[in-house]
Amino acid sequence: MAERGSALHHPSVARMSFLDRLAPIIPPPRFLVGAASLASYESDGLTAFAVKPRAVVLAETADEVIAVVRLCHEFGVPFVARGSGTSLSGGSVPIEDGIVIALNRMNRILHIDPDSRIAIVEPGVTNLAVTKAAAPHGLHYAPDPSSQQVCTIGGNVAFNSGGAHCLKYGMTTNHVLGLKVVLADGTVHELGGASLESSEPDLVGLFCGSEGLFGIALEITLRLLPKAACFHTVLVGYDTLQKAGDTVADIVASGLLPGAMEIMDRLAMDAAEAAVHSEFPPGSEACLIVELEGTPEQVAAERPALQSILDASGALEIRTARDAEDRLRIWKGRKSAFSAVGRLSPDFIVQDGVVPRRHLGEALQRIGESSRRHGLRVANVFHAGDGNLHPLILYDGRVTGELEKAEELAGEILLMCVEMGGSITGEHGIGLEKKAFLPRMFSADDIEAMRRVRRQFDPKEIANRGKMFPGGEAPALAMRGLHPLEAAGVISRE
Amino acid sequence: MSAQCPVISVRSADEVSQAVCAHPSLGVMGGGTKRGLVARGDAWLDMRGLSGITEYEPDEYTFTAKAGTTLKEIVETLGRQGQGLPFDPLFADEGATIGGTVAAAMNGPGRLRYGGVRDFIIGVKFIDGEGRQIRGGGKVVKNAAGFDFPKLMVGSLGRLGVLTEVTFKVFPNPEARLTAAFDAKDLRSAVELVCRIARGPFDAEAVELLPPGNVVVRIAGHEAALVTRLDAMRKALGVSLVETHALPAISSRVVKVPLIPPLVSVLEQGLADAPRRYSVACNVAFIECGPEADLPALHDTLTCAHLGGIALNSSRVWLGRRSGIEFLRGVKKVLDPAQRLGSIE
Repeated sequence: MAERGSALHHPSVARMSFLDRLAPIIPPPRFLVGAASLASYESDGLTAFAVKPRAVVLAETADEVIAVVRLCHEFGVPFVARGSGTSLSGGSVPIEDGIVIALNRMNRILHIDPDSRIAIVEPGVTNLAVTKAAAPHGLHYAPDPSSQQVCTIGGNVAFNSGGAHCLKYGMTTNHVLGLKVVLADGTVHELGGASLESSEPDLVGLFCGSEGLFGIALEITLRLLPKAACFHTVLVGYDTLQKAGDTVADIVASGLLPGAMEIMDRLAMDAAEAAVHSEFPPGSEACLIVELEGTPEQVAAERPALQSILDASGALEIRTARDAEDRLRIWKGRKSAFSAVGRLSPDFIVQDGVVPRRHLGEALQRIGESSRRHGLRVANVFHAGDGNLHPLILYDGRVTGELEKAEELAGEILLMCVEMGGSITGEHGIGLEKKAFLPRMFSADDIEAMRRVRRQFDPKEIANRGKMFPGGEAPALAMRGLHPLEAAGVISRE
Repeated sequence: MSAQCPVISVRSADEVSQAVCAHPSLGVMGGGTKRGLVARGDAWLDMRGLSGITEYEPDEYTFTAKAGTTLKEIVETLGRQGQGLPFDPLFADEGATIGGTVAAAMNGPGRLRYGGVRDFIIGVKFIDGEGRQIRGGGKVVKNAAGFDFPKLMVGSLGRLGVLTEVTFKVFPNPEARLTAAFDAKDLRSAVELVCRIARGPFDAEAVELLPPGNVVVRIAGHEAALVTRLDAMRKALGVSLVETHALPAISSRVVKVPLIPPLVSVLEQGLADAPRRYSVACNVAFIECGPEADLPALHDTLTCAHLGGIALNSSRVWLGRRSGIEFLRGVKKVLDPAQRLGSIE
């Protein structure tokens, strides 16, 4: 890292001319080069990595983004597109000597057509803003990552973000119908359209989750869904994690399809209770949140089926949300769990592995063993319905060797997920964090095919260089503490 | 696809790979229910021997099958465990395979509620145009690792790779279904009714428009609640029920044209009297297209309406406007540079 920033201090002629050419595209107040103004772009939700970019441009229009990308392509200067910087896999960490194209100012909702049930938005629109804009029409945008207040649709598309409702409704990619994109080579393409159906190969599906390695989405057509008319939310306490996990399996086997099934362990509950005063069943080691949703008639018919499963599940306590307010309180406890646990420790790493549901119990047990062996606390909050674990590894970066130990523990968990036939990421993406593990999931041929597709659209590999694929330089790990937005309680890492 | 064209029956991924390397051009065929979409080559690859469900984990909501497995086998196997593919896979009775269903992106009416092939496929193995075996996705219901090759294969019409194995997410089947028809006075009010149902909190599984004014709705769920739900929907919409009956089947002699509800009237202006149906809440038109159909005229009509489509069983594949074709050419160059698997134009 000794050379960090050297290009700025000793710019070559070619590099001078890059910045000289960049300046007229993005006028001064939106063209940042000074160390102080770059500081807030050094890192994202994976706070262990920090890289100072050469410059940051705050784009306001698609034309500006296209012009900047074309210039980057001409000069071979790498770029990272960035929304709110909430990536948990280091997906928006800047590239040494590269620039950051910040898209938050492109936050217009361009069109809502309630009859076609679509919204066309710019990439800097926040996730929650889409649902807010759709609400007057009785519609909503289904994917709901916990950072939905601030995370942007552009980032959601790039990393195929998830949320608590994925088993029933899928991830971001299942809700993107059309894209206007600028590829890293500067060409502009329209993929998909406004219809649920298509008569072309699913190019939108290929672009979603490509982690910014093809280029930048400029306009995104989203699918909206009718809001459910009725919810039935139940909070259940257990004396073991195993019982909570078994209950999820029983619910799945019964043929019920809840909108969400979430589990939290003792450590997570304690932290959330202290932070937001949610009332979790006292004395329980694990709690399960199950939510049925649909028409009032359907929910009323499903309730007894769910109740009889829960009654037979060995629960310590079964609490049903009394009203909409009570339901929100339960969800607040769940969604705040991560930032709450984060306050128990100066630093933490969130993992995002997936295991087949039948291995949930074993996976949690092995995570517990690893935690004890490494002497680091691990809290578990997870999307039980789809086997998506979010072990949260607590460490103190100021203690020599703890970060390395935490990374080692995180690596063990990932390898366990692969070994069980799962995935190293359910919804956070590979990014910078897990790229060394990609070969554990895919063969060299598979990865080479992915690389060839990437190079077709980005021959100079300038778009989010250094992410997803193994190899290349990795920035040094840094001790950073909480993300500023996290400290403010605005976002949480999951 | 002339009669004298040699047919190569494959039983393994390796045999597919060998066949791809041995032939300058190949058409890939499963059950033959959508023959018009098969690339013209100097040989046909018959995929029906590459068949069988290799893994099925009802508790995990996933199964893996070789590409030549028939939909019929899959639907029956899943059905025995009370599960299914909620998008009403098309042409199961006619012998369609899961590989062909993916390659042609064929979805039935049920795709409205939870999504279609693209939303349920989670893993794929295929042989690219150079004979290389490539895998994408995985076998768990949630996975964000690597580029989404499974989705890329959806609608690829065999031009980007020969599918050898697919993994799907499945759902529990509803306890019961109820289909009902409403009658609108004309096409315009029928489209309006379709939109009100699709936008409303009715949890409709399928909303189909049979011109000029028949709107067929299917709801599903707990049996005891269905009649009450239908009644609540009828009252909320202020329409009277005509009758209840099963949804008519979709013909395989059609052109599939994706659209959105506001474009139905635009398309209608240019269509002659070909029988047609607006499926998936007016997100796709299935326009009947017999052997005597005037394809050039339909092509012009679609082009004028800024629409495009594919003909499942006619003498040409693509009609009207193409979208994303430059991007697609890039992908084609990577996966099938020698165009062994047919042209995308």
